[in-house]
Amino acid sequence: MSAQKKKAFQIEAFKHRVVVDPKYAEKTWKILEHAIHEIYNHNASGLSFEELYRNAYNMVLHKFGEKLYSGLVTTMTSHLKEISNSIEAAQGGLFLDELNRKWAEHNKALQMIRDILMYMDRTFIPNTHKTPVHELGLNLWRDVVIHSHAIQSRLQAILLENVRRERSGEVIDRGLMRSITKMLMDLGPSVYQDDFEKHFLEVSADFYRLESQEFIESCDCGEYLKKAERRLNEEIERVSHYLDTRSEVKITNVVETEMIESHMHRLVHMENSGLINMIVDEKFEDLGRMYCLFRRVSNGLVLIRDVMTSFIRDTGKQLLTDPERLKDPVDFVQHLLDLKDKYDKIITSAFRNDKTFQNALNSSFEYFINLNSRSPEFISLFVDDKLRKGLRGVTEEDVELVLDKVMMLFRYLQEKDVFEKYYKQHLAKRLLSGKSVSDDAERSLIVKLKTECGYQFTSKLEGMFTDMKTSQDTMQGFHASHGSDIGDGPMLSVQVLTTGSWPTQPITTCNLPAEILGICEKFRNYYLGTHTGRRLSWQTNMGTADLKATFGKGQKHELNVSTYQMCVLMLFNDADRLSYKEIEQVTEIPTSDLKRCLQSLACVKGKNVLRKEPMSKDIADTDTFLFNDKYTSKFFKVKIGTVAAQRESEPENQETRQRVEEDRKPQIEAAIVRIMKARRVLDHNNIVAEVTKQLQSRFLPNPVVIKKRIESLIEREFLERDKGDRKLYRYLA
Amino acid sequence: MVSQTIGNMLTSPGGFAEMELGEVTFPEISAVILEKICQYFYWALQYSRGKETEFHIEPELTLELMMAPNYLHT
Repeated sequence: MSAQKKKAFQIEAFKHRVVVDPKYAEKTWKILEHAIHEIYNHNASGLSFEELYRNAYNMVLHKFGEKLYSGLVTTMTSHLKEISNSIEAAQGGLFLDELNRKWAEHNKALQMIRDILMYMDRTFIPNTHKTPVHELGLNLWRDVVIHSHAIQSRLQAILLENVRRERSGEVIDRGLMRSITKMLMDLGPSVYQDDFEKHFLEVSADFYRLESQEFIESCDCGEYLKKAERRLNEEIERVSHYLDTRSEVKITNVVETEMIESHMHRLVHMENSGLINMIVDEKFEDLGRMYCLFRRVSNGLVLIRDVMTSFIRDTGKQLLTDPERLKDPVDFVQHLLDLKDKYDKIITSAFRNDKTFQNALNSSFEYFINLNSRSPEFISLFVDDKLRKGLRGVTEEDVELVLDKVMMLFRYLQEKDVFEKYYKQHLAKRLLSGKSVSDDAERSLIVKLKTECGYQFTSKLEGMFTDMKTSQDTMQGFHASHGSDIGDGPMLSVQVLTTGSWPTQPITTCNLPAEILGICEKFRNYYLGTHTGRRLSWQTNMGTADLKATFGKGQKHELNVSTYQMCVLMLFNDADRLSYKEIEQVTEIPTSDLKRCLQSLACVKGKNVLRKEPMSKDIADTDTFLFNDKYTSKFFKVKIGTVAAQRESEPENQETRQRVEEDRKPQIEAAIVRIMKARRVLDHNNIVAEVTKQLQSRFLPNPVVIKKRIESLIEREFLERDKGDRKLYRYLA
Repeated sequence: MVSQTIGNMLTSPGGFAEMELGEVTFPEISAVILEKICQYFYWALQYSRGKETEFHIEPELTLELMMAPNYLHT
């Protein structure tokens, strides 16, 4: 045992008096009841919080929590009944105000009560699963005041009336509205919804239904949309000021349905002001507004898109079948480009670059461009025009812009191989006549085509450029070695063309004048001397010549003519007068070519270096031609040569088409063989599908033609038919 | 918030006497206990400010010292 005196651990009884007073609970409750009264009467100052708190604490501690709670309910209820009466008594405009004020007071009282009854809230209530004080206070308010028969309907009516007044332009007390709706929200979302929101939406729907009907009868499309937009914004603003945020989407839905969705079709198709008119008149603001509004409604944009698409298709179709338009291909293509620009602009500035609209535009263009089988030819002619003169003096960037636009049209073509054929022809003419505005522009376009279609597409075109360059070098060599020989004789400039790269030309007859033959031979010997094993043939239908001519009064002119024309004109060095037959006999130029060349020499104003008897427009076999002594021109140099590429005549077009069809056959066959080699066995439908897929970047193969090619391949024993199933094919190695 | 009760007492709307007079009385809590509680409040403040010390409770106080915090919601 230690000497240190330990402090005894003492447990003492409660210092509080153990309560035996039976009336204890009642007395204590009375104190609290009194306090609640005072609180509701704004008399709480002077009361001791601690005392009240302690009393409530004691009641709960001594198991009188039930009495306390039910007492609270009763007391609060009776106070609220009083309050309810005083609100009901408020007249007209003061109703909301009174309601709002009493609500604020109730909240304050509730908090005070909750604070002093905190102990009960913490212990008794959770144990007995009763409603906590604060929530109880709200529920009682809701049941006794808000849902009192008189108040409930009146409140709803006044709130809706205020909204109606504001919608017709009156100013209302938004702060008050805010407090009331907030009160409803505090009482529970279902209270807000059932007591107010539901009716608000219904009434609004009616309102907008009526208003939209009015508007649609009296306004045009643009005005109507403006009004709809205004109302929509108004409602959004209304929500932000005094409604619950979750109401926004619901009310905007109402406006959208009543003002937009119900009248969608009528608006779009409105005469003189609907979608089509807006597009035609380029009303970007209105279109933008329509886009934004219709976007909110299901199928709104689909409607706009469909109407726009069918309009574009109709416009395009009209353009492509209008014989007047088709007479001038360059103009025609320019119109296509303008059309595309126009719609691009609409989509960018009004339709927010919406991808679905872009796609619709692209598919429309693809649709109608391919309606006319001449489109590939026309696009090539357009390019030809640009590269000959259209792009003269244009900056490099602008050149690129034009070429990119051309490429865009090119992509829409289904028959790209037809385009290739024409492009080759036109390019050949440009290169040989030296008429290209810019070599860089030419090459730039080739690069773009290569990027788009691959090396195959442009290899021959590039071959043409190479030939031109090589010929320049050859000519330099030729002149260096034979320069002295030529002397006074004609000057020769030769372009040597590799047969495979250039468009195939039929071989024509033409007897060159003696003077020319000499130098031509010299060149042939020179060339074959350095390139053995090659064969050269003169393309008399593609050449040009510059002739110096002296006329009657001594006036001299330099005439730029085609080779054929040169042969004809040289004849007039020995005779003043020649008949058609004579000319034909000596030159041996084919009939149609001869007639065409004579026509340009004799029948065109300003270029008639020959006179024709009779003076008719066309060349007849019986015509006679005379040298036109009296020819005058203000220019020294006169161009009479073959004109620039022109749109083909019908028969020429047929011919080209045929050649294209012929070219397609081996391509189809190659595709079939490729596919069968990989798959070994395949049925008919699948072959057709695969072939189409492989070739569609060049052209759309005709299933009938595919079938024929398959049969030809079977005959040539590349494939065989399956013995059992006629539709199945097998690859023969 | 160390004592919810005292906090409410002083912040409850409506102007209870305590707030108006600035004085709080606890007639049912003995001075010794109340003193200990005040010490606790101070210690809690220091602790929250980083001063981590021990709070010593005399054993003979423990029982009553359990009732008071319950009352004060501490």
